[in-house]
Amino acid sequence: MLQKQPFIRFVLLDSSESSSLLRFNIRRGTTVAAAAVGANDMRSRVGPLTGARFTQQSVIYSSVEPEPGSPLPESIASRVGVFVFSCGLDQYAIVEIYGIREEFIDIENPCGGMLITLTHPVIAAFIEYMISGIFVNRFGHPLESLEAAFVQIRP
Amino acid sequence: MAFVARPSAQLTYGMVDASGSRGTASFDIPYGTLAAVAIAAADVLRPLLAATTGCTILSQSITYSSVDNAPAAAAANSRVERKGVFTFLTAAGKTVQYSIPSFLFSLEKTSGAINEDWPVIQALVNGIVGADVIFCDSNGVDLTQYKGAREASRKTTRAQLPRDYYPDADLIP
Repeated sequence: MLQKQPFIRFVLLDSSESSSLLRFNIRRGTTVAAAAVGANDMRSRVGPLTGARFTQQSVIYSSVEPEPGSPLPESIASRVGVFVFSCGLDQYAIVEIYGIREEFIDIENPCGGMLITLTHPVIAAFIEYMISGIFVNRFGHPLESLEAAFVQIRP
Repeated sequence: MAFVARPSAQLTYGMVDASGSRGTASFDIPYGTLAAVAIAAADVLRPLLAATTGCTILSQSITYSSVDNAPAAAAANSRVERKGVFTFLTAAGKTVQYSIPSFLFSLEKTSGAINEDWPVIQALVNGIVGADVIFCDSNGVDLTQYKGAREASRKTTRAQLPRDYYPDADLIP
C-alpha cells in the first residue's frame, strides 16, 4: 500500500441544512493529537469567515494499492460474510466482509441458511486477530468472542 | 458546544469484485490508538481480509472523528454554495486552493475579491503559510506564498435544494 498525504476534513452545515466539506492536507508523520490541535486552530481561523457551522472534524490517514491485482473471476461483492462479535454484556459488533469466498460457506449445516465454516484456517486466523484486543465496537468496547458468522446476499 | 471524540476510529478497506462493483469493510479501533499503531494493525489485517474475500482490496483509510455535541445554529441565509476561494503556492510552485463554504459577504469587496484588510483574513493566511504549521499540499510540500482570494459560487445540487422548495398544494393547485 502506498500511503497518501494524511488530511483533516471538516463538515460544515448551513442554514438550509446543506453540508459541505473542507479539506486540508497535513504533513506525513503528524500524530492524531498534533493533527487535532491543528484542526482546532484551523477551525478557530475559518469560523469567523463563514456563516455555516462546523459539525464534525476528522483526521484521515489513507493508503492506496498502486498496482491492484484482479479480483477472482467468481467474486461477488453482494455476497457478504457477516461476523457478530460479543463485546461484553449486551454489547456487540458486526463486521461485514464483502465478496466472501464461496469455499468458506458451510452448505451442509443442518440449520438452513448459509453459515461460515469457522474451522477453516483462514477464517480462524481472521477471527483470532479480530479478538486479539486491537479492535472494538462503535462504542469502544473490545471484541471478546465470536457469536455468529453467516452469509447474506445483498440486493 | 464542544467537539467530542467518538469512542472509536474507523478502519475502512475499499474493495472491488469481478463485475466492478465496490464495497467496503469497516472495523473499529479505540480512538486513543496511535496512528502508527493503527496503520500497522491495518497492514496485518489486510492480508487476513484478502484471504477471506474474492474481491481485490484497493485502499485503506483510518479516520479519527470528533463531532460537535451541541452545534450552534448556522447564520441565517448562509449557503454552502457561496465560497471564499483562497489560493496559495507551494515551495515547488504548485497552486493549492481552499474553498471556504458560506463565506461572509461582509468580508468581500464589491468586486468579489476578498478584502484582505480584515484581521480574520490575515489570521487564516498566517495559519496556512506559517513556518510551524502542519498543512501542506497533496505531495507533502509546504505552502509558502499567498496568491489571492475571491468569491465563487457553486451549483446547487439536488441534495442542497430547500426542503420547503415544493409548492404548497393548498395555495397553488
